[in-house]
Amino acid sequence: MAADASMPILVVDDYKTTIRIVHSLLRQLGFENLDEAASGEEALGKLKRKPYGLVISDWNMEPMTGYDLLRSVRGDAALSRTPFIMITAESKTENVVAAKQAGANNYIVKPFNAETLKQKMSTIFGEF
Amino acid sequence: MTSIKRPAPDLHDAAGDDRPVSSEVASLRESLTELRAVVGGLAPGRMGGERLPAAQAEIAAIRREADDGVSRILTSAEAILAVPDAGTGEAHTHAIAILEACGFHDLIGQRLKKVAEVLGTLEARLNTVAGCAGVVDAEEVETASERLYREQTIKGPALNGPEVLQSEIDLLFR
Repeated sequence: MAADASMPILVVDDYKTTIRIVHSLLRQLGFENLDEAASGEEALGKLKRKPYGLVISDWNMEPMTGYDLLRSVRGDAALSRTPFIMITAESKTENVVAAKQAGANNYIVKPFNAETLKQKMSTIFGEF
Repeated sequence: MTSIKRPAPDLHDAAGDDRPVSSEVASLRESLTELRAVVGGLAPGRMGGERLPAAQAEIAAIRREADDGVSRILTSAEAILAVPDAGTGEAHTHAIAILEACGFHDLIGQRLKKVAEVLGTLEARLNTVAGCAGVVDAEEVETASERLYREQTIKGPALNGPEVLQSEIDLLFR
């Protein structure tokens, strides 16, 4: 799967600051078609209305966590192949294992930098 | 119907203590009085009703001020990155570093949320204790060092402050 600079990317986080940071970093990586959601529910609604090339989601959200969102995405035939990166402060091994088992394509621990984001995206889309 | 034969009430405790019940009651009363005094010393009314809510309000203010500060920093970093021909020069590199560094805000927010939740639980429990019959906040005896701290230290920014606007201060100095 190659990275298409025009693919829509959905960033999900209940902290507006994190969305702004990730959006800015993605723009620097050449991606301009960026969208956002402040909760798992909002993200799921957007995903059902429009296809996204990548979802980057926080884990810690209420009431629907990023993990719940991931499971919903993987459990929906129409969305199940959407690349999904978990980006969170949850760095316990069991969380990482759970996310991997639920179908996360990658996992980034906050705080992170542009290079880490690019590196993890490269594992999904190849070098870009 | 088979009747159950109950043993006669024992005026001594099961452990074989041969103190009479009246002595036990007196001892219990003494313990309760002591317990109330200790609990009252914690001043659950003032702690749960005033101080912990004040601490919660300070935490909320920290979050608001951090939100505002980080938002302004991000706006500046984004503006630098939006400058045409910002390219990959030094300014660009530093602007990216600023963006990355702003990630601290999210982590601080999550940690403050945890602290606020603990304080909220403590507040609820102290309010329950304060509502218990017989528990009265004890008079607080201020130590010399506490008095010195209260009287001499600057108490820091006021909630929803500043209490006195710079423009009002300027008027006083005209």
